Amino acid sequence: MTRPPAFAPARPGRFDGGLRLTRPPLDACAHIAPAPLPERLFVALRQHAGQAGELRVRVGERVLLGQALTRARNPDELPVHAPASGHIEALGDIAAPHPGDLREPGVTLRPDGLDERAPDAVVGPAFREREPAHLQAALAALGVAGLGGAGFPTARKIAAAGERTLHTLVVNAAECEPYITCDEALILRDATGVVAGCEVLLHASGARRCLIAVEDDRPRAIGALREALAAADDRLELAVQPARYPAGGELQLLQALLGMEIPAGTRPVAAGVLCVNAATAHAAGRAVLHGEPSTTRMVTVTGHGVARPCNLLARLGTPVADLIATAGGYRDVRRLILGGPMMGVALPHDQVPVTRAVNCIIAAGDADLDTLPGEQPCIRCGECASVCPARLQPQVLFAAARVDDLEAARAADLEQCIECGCCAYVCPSHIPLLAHFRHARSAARESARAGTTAARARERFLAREARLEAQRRARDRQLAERETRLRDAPDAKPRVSEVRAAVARARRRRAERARGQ
Amino acid sequence: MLSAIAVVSGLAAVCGGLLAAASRHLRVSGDPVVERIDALLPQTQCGQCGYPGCRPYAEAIASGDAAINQCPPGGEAGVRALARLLGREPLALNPEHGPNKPPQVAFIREEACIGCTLCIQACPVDAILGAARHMHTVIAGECTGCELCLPPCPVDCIDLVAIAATPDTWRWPAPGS
Amino acid sequence: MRFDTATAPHVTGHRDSAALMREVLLALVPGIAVNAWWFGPGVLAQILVASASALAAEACVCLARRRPPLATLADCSALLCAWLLALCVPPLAPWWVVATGSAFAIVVAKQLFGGLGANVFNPAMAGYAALLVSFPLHMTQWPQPGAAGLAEVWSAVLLAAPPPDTLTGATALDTVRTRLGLGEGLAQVYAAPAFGRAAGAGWEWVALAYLGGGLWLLGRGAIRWHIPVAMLLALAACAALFHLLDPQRYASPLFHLAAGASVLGAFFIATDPVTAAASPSGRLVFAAGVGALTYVIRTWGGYPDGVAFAVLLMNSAAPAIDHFTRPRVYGSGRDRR
Repeated sequence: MTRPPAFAPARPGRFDGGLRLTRPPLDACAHIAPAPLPERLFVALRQHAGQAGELRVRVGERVLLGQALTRARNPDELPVHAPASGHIEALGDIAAPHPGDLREPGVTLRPDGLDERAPDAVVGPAFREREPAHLQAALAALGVAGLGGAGFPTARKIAAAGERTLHTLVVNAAECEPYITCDEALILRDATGVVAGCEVLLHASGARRCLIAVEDDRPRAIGALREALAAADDRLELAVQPARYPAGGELQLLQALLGMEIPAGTRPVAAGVLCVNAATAHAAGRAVLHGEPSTTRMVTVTGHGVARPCNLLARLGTPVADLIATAGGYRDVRRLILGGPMMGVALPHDQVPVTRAVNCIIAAGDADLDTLPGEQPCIRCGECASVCPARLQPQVLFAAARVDDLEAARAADLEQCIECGCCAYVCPSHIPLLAHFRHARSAARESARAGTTAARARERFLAREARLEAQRRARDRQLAERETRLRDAPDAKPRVSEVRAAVARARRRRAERARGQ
Repeated sequence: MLSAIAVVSGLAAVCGGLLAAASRHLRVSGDPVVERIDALLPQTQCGQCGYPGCRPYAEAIASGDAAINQCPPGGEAGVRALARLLGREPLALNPEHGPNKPPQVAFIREEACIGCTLCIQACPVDAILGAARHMHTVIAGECTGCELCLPPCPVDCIDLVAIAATPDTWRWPAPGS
Repeated sequence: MRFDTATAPHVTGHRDSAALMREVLLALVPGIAVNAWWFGPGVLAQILVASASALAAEACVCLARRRPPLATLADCSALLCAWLLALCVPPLAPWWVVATGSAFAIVVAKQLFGGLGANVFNPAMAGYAALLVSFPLHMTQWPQPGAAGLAEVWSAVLLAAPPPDTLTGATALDTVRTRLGLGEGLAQVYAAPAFGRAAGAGWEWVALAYLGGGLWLLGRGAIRWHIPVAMLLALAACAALFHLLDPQRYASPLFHLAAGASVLGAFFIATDPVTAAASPSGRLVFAAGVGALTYVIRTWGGYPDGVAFAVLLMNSAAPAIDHFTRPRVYGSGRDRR
C-alpha cells in the first residue's frame, strides 16, 4: 500500500460500522486524586508487550522510588521500576488482573512511606537539543510503554519505523467506551503535562505534526487542552471527533482522522503514523522532562456498585481492593469489570494489582448491567455486519466459530476482528458473538503456537532418528571392516603378529620417555 | 476409412503427448497425504498410537492400516482435523490408546537422580541433558510430555507436571460451556 | 469476595428477534383489515386456520426433535409464516388447503432444514408453491369484491363446500394474461368490471394498506430499505420498459405495482432475513432479481402471480449472491477474493 499524502486525507471523518452508546449518569471526573499508598505493592515483572527483564533485586533489599527492579537485556524486554521506596518482601508469582484468575511473576514490595527517590538522569526541558535516539533510549530506560491497553514499548514503536519518516503523531484521547474517563481525568489534572509529552514525542519520533484526538462529548477535556495548546508548539493540533464507539480503536481513529486503512499484518508506523495514548504521551513527558520512570497510571473507579465514582492516580501494583476502598467501598455490586462495558473482562475477585493495562474498574450493579434473554437461532439479519468496524461478516464467522472450524474462521478473516463487541451488542437473537470470537481467536493463537512447538519436536525427532541411524551405520561399517581385515590378512595368525607389534611399540615409547627424563 | 484411422491415431498421439507432459511437469514428489497428516499430529512422538512416532502413524493412516482416533495427545480436536482432511466421519477417541491429558512436561527430581542415562536414551526429542553418573535435567521448552522416560527410570525420579496457563497461553472458554 | 464472570459486552442494544417478528405481524394488520373489507371475512378465517395448523406443526416437530416447544413458538416465526401464507391463499378456499400448506411450510420448508435460521427457502412461499401445484383450482378462484359475507365464508371455508361461480372469478393479473392470450388489447381488458383505478378492484387498496404497514416497519428500523426499494424499482423498471414498447400488450408499471402480491412481497416476504442475501449490496441484487423475475413470470409464465416463484428462485441464489457481494474486509487487499 502506498502511503497517502500526509495532509490530504482520502475520506476522513468516518470509520465503518460502530455504534452510538449512551454514557452512564456518573461523573467519575468529579473526584480526581492520587490513590493512597497501599500496605503492599504487587509489581508484575512484565507490563508490556514483550518479555520480562532480568530481576535485579533480592528479598529483603531496600529499594528507592523509581529504582529499576528488572533490567532489559534486549529490545524485547523493558524494565519495571519500584513505585515506592521500601523493602522487597517476596519474589515470585502474584495474582494477575485476568479473567482466568491467573498468576504471573512479580515483586511484592512493602513501602516505607518515605518515597525516597532514586537519582535519575534527567534530559530536561532542553530535550530539543538532543538526538531523537537519545530520547528514545531514555524512554526505554524509564520503562515507558503504551497505557492504552496493549502496552507496546514506546521507544520500540518509534524504532519500528526504521528509515521511514513519520508524518503524523496521533495522540489518542478518544475514550469511546462509556464509563472510562481516565484519559479525560488525566487531561483535567495535567493538560500541560499531556501537551508537553506530545512535544517530547514529536521530537523523539521526528513526526511533522501531532493530532490530539478527543471525542466531542468531553467539553471539559477539550477546554483544558485548548488552553494548554495555546502556549505550545504550533505543530500540535486538536482533532475533535464525533462520539461514536469504537472511535478510540487505533485503526478506527486513523480511518476517521486520516482516511487511511492499515493493511492487515502491518503497524501504523509502516504507513508513517505513530499512534500513542494520551496517558502514554504524558508518561513520556514525565520521563524525559523530569526523569520519572513510568510507575503510576490514572484508573477510573466507577459503576453503580461503588459509593463514590472517581479517578485515582494509582501506583502500578496497588491492589484493586484498595482503590475500591478509596472510592468508598462496594454498594450492591454484582460484577467487577476491568475495562469498559463493551470489551471489559469480568474479574473473579479484587485481590489483583493495577498494571499498566488497567484503565478502568467498574463495580457494576444492576443498573450497569443488561441481563440477556435466552439465546435464539441466528436469523442472518445482518445487523452485526452493518455495525462491524472491520467490515467482517459476524454471522459467517459465528457459523465457523460455533463448531470450532478454525480453518473456515480464518478464511472469514477472524484475525481482523478487533473484539469491539458491536456485533454482540446489536444481535437481536442475543448470541454471545464476542465470546465466540474471543474463544476462536485464542484457540487459533494456541493452535498456531502448538503448530510451532510440534514442528520443533518433529525436527528434533527427525534429527535424533538420523543420528541414531548414522551411529548404527558407523558401527556396522566398523564391524564389517574388522571382519574383512581379519579375513583378508596374509598370515594365518594375525593376532599374534599384531600383539607383538603393539608390545614392541610400547617398549619403544617407554625407552624414549626414559631417555627424555 | 483411412482418414478415420488417421484422426483416431492423431488424437491418441496428441492425448498421449499431453499425458506424458503432465506426468513430467505436474508430478508431485513424495506422498503429500502423509505430509499433511503428519502436520496435523501433535509430534509428541509418544507412541501411544502403537506406532514408533508420529510419522509412522501418519503413514499407517494414509495406507489405511490405522484408524484416525488413536492419538490421545491430539484429542478430539485432532481427530476432527484428521477427519476433515481425509473426508472421513469423525470418531470418538479410542480409549484403548489412553486418555487425552492436558499439556504436561517432565520434571526430574534432581536429588533422587542417579545419572543412569536411561531416560536420555528413551527421550524421542533429545530433551534431557546429562551424562553418566551426573544428574540429568529436562529442557522444559523441548519436552513434549510423552511419558516415554518414565518406564526406564530405575529410581522413579521423573514426574510429569501439568503446564499452568499463563496470560500468553490462556484460552477463552467456549460460550455456554 | 467473588464476582460473577459473564463475558463482554456487559450491555446490549435491546433488540429482540421475537419482538421484530411481532412488529412485522402488527404491520400486516392494516392490510388484513382492508382485505377483509373488500373481500369479506374469509381472510380472517384463513389466518386462523393457518395459524393453528402452523403452531401445531411446529410444536409437533419440536417435540420430535426434543426441543422445548414453547420457547420455539414464542419466537413468533411460525405465526408470521402462517399469516403470510394465509394472505396469499384465496379467502374462500376450503380450510384444509391452507392447513396443509402451512403444515408443509413449517415441517418441510423450515424444520427439515434445521428450523429458524437454517432454512434455505422462504417457508410461506414454499408452502404457497406446494399448494399452487397441488390444488391449482382452489388457488386461483378469488371472490369478487363485496360478494362474500360471513355465511359464504362459513360454508366455503369451514364446510369446504365449493362456492358458487357467481361469487368468485379470476384476479386482475389472471384476467390480463388470459384475455391478452385471446388476442384482446389492454384497453378492452381494463374495461372489465373487476378492474379498479390501478389494478383489480380492491387490490390496489389492499396494496396501499400493505405499503403503509411496510413504511411503518421501515420507520421502526425493523427492516432495511434495500429489499423493498430494489424489488419494486426492478419490477417497475421492467414493466415500464415493455409498456413503452407496446402499451397495448404490456401493462403499465402502476398496474404491476398495485396488482397481486407486489407490495406484500416487497415489504414482508422478500425481506425475510433468513432466506435473503445478507449484505446491503447483496440485498439490492437479490431484491432486483425478485422484482425482475416477478415481472417475467407474470408476463410470460402460466401462474396467477410471480412473486412466490421469484422469491423462491432468488432464495436459491442467495448464498451465491452473498459470496460475490462480501464487503472487503478492513486491511485486506483490494484484489482479494
